[in-house]
Amino acid sequence: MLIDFSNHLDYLWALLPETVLTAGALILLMYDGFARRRSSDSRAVGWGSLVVLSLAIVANIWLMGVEEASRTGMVAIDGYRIFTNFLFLGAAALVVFISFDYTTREGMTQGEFYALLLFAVVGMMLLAGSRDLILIFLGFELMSIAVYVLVGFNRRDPRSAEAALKYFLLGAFSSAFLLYGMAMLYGASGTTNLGIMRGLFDAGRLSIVAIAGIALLAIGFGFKVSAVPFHVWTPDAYEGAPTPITAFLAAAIKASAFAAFIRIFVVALGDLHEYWEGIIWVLAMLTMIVPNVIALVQDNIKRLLAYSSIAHAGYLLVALIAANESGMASFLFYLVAYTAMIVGAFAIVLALAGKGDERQRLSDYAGLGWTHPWAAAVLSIFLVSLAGLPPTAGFIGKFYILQAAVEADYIDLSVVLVVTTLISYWYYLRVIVSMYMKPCVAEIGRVPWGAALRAVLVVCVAITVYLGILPSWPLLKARQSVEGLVPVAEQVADVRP
Amino acid sequence: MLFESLVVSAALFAVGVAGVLLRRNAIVMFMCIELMLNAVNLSFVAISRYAGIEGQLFVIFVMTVAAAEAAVGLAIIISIFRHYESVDVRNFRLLRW
Repeated sequence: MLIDFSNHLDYLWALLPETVLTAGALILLMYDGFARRRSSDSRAVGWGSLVVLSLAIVANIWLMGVEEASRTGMVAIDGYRIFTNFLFLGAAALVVFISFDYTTREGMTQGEFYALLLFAVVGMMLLAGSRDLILIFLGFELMSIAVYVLVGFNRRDPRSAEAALKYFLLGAFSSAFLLYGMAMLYGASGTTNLGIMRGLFDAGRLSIVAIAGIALLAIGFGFKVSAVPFHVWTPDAYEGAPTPITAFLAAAIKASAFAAFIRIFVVALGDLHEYWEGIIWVLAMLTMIVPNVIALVQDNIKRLLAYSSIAHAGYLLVALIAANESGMASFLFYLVAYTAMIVGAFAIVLALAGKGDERQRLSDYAGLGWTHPWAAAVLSIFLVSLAGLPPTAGFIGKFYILQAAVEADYIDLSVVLVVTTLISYWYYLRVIVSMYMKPCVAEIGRVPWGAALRAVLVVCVAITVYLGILPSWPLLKARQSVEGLVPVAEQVADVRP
Repeated sequence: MLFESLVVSAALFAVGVAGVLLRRNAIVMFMCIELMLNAVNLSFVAISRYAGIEGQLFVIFVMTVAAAEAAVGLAIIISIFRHYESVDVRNFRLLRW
């Protein structure tokens, strides 16, 4: 099927996965409005949201066979969008699975939880798949507003409310910067379409308005992907949010912000690489060094993983600044690997924390290797992968990012990446050492491992190990989906006078 | 007129940023964020006189989004007021590095 946006009905087809998700989320909200407040009803809404997610995956598979008439349509239909769509839908499904037990345990039985999750996914998919500044802004806000609510969803817990307030204030603050940057780019180029914009900038003499726009956009995206020095909200929001939402924040939300970051900077502003590489270089440098050092002294496991996720944003920034095809392919590969390992790690943290999220300190994990050997073993796999040791997905992902950085001649960044990875071994291995070599302080007792949670752990371990041992097929797919992303934008530039 | 409008917009934006960074009352901080958004709206309208209709479309969307954000933001502020009996962000220190 050929999508040509001169026919307005084609927007519906181009946005079919998003349409399915939105309709499904609205139906679930309606159902929940008439349902009684019981955990079985909440569970029904949860299963309903899984059905909607799988329908959206089917729609996304259908989208693979669709061609677009021009590369300047408001909605992109390219491999990049389809790949990221699969990633977001998969991450959301994993989060729904780990939410079942958590919402029952913490008494958050409102069905809106799942509907909001679906709305957030719609926002992410719009964000990663649009070629227009207006749609990117709308996608950002659709995602963020749903997630502000989700972070504060546990109303009985003051930590959740505090996290929501901090996340909300800084999120809205950063949106304003992002918007101002978009206004400047629009003023400098006269269009909001990213496909057309690339041809309108002349790298030789760039107006001050465009440079200000790039700087403001970099600040706004810096907040959104939690790059140092704009990261202060991240540990607070991650620690206070309900744990499934923390996993969602770390995996999917960050991934979608990065996807839009790449679409604007590498695709639309790719010819202006010399103007933005300086600021991104500084951000990448700081984002690799600072969180890895701060994480050394953390003793709350959620906070430790939050700092680890900031550090991973630094590694992804290296893939972004490389701005070549292998950089983008390694970025997509790393996102898949990172989603599997961080969701798995948070799933274990969620189950071990017990009612009221009491056990989050590192000392609570002492002796876990002897009392709960399976949990300790699985958590160790995820931590080893996050640290980037072979034979896991984290190692291969980091290796490909390094390769892309070296290809693009960023030797300094590659060296810092390796050194900070070595530093990070200390705090990841500290958790493993405490699990296996320290005596148990307080008995954790029986931990209820629901079937859904077990399934998620199996899937995450399988992906982590599979990507670590046989990375060539996934990497090939990642490479195919970014193929033509940049050169096609150049073709558009040639067409315009 | 374009230059003057952009200067006014930048000044308003700077006032908003200063407000968010200096004030400690959550509601005032939120109002300053709204001020920043409206400053950007002014730029959009001014630019769209020269660059085409997209700027004005953008403003409509930004106003809609700001309304939705206000609904959620005020709800969050109310929920935190229930816990702390205060909206001063200096009092919220359960989470700290």
